[in-house]
Amino acid sequence: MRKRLSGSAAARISALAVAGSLAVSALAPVTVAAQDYEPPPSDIEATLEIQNWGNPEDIDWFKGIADGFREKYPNVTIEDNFVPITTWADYINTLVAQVASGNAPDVINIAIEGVKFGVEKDMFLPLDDYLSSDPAGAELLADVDQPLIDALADENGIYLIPWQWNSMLMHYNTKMFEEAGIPRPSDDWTWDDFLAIAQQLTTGEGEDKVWGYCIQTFLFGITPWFFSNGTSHLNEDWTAPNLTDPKMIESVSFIRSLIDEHGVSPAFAGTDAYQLFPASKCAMTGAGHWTVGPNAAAGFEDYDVLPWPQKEQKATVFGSAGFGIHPSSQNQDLAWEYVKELTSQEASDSFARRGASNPARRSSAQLDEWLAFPESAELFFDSIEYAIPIPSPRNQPEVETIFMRHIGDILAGNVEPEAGLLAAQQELEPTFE
Amino acid sequence: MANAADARSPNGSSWPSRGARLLAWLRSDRVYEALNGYLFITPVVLGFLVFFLGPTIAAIGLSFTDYEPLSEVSFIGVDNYVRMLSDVRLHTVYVNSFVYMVAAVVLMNGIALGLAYFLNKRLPRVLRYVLRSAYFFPSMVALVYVAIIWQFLLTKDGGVVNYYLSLVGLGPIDWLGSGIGAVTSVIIVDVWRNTGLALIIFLAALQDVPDEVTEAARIDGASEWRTFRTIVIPLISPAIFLNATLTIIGSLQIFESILILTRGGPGDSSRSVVFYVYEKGFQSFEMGYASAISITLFGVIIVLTLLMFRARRRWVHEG
Repeated sequence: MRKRLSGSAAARISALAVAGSLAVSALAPVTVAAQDYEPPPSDIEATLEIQNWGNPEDIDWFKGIADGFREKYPNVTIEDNFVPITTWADYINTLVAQVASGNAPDVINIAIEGVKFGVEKDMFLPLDDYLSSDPAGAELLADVDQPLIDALADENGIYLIPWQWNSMLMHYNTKMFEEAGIPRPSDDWTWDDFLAIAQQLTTGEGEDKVWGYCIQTFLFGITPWFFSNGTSHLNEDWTAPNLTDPKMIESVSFIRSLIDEHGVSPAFAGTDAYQLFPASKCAMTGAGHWTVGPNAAAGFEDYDVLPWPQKEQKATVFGSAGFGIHPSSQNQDLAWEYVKELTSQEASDSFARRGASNPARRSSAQLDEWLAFPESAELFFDSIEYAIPIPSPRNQPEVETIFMRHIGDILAGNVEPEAGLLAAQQELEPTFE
Repeated sequence: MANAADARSPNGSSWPSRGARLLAWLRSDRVYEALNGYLFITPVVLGFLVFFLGPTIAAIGLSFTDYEPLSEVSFIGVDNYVRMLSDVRLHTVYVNSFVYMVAAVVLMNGIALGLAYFLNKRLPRVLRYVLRSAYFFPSMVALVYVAIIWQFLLTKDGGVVNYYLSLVGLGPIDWLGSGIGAVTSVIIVDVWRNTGLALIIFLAALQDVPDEVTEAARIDGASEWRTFRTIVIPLISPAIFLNATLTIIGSLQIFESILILTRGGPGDSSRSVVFYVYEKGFQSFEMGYASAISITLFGVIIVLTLLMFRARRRWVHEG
């Protein structure tokens, strides 16, 4: 499992080849490849359309980037089709509808969940030529960790330039830990340690009830329980479900036991961990860096983060997002310039200062503003050393829909984990054919 | 001949005189009114063609294909319809939809009729306006907000409803996590939201019931219940028919409240046919199969509506 974590070997080779060629061009600037790419003239008149997603508060950041780009290209109009993110299935569907209508965007912002689907539907232009022929290409990826690049590439090339990513870490309420006399666990804490603390911190009844741990109701949020047990809901190359694996049954049984056996977690359905945690109704919950900003806005700062507790291995899940170019774009060079603008050092730093997701550039995650809070903020970026990409097959929306429907049934106590996972396995198998 | 020659233009063409006749015809009152009429209905007809007939024809066509977005389309005959016969999940969601339909028809119309009858009594005018607005208010709030608020109320652990139930020693009930609880929650929200509209229709009908008829019945010694059952109900039966038909059509298309409240879960416990169509079409991208299911639902709604109209002759008082 761990072996595949940093992406396919072919993708790595591809990335290394690009990196190698970039290194060569850096050493010898006057190369054929370096002379191939000429940026569009600054007086070019064009409209660039970007298919975009994010939280509503991201709109202003994107507008700032577009304004900066227009200083270089004053006659270029940026049309930002911004979609507040709900589910990846919905976003991919929006993108598909736009492409199917014959109005494909020039630039596409998408996460790992949509990469294989998009590649199968020819939605991404391989960017290797740009990366190797544009002298500025080397700088784009030099500061990005390889797993983040691999997650947005395959054996045929790199399709998206990473700009942000997230991994799941355990967030814990420092005030509750202090009051209960519980010291911060070590970074290699185990499921047993976690359960003991959750039991200790589950207190009260009725309106005074405080839960030890709040479970996430989305696939990305529960996947660390599988990875830390050395398993996954899909097989290693994401070509089949893996739900009858005894370790999967053990993982799901453990999550369910938190609700019905140990009583340390509230009911799965209808629970919003990201409301309960800042309200100090949950002592622990899993999240990425994306909650740091909203927690600060809510005035909640009594928390820190820990790596995910281990069963078989130290692991968590990560997902990265990047910008790509649609092959049918009439302004591919201009789109490439805009992708560079969106992923530039300046853009990455300003993104990091906003306290949203992890920036793809490591240097941006070393800014004082980024490391200021929570106390162990460096763990967010450092988790890339052991994090595993969220399994994202071409039918990922279907996988998430079917799997989470059965998980909901299991965690509601309507069906036993083994039987529920078997039913999910049988329903998922035909979708991979 | 002379007339015909006169009608010709200098270059021998006869069209100016035809044009004049056409102009005169267009200026006639009958044609002028007809043209105005057509112009007025043009937006509706265009809307019908673009937003209803066109998509319906497209859906019928797609239902015979294996269409997936950005993929080659193949004609597969009636395979999608045959597949439905063995689709256990489809059978489940159809049963769920019929449960929603029966619950909506009975509860929504029953509650709306009871409230309308109450409001039609001699209440102070201000109180009547306030209550009527209050009952209608849920229909005006966006369903997304409604469902989110209800989700907050119905959460098993920490939910407001279970908190008050616990004060009287009941619960906690897993409103959203258990099969029966999830279906019940969807029904509660659906009834709560749509009762106001049915109430307004019932209230309008009740206000049309002549006072002298009900007063005569009372003078003859009829009880309140007997007056309501044998005089009021028949007189407002057209409104009951209208509300029942609208409720059947609407409840079979229930979607948003399920999406926000339960997402169809746990399992398929609270999933409706329309939600299943959404899942197949927009999450699994099986547009052909989703189209076939939507066509069957369209057929079911048409059949039920026709049955309602057929039964109308037996119990609806047309006088």
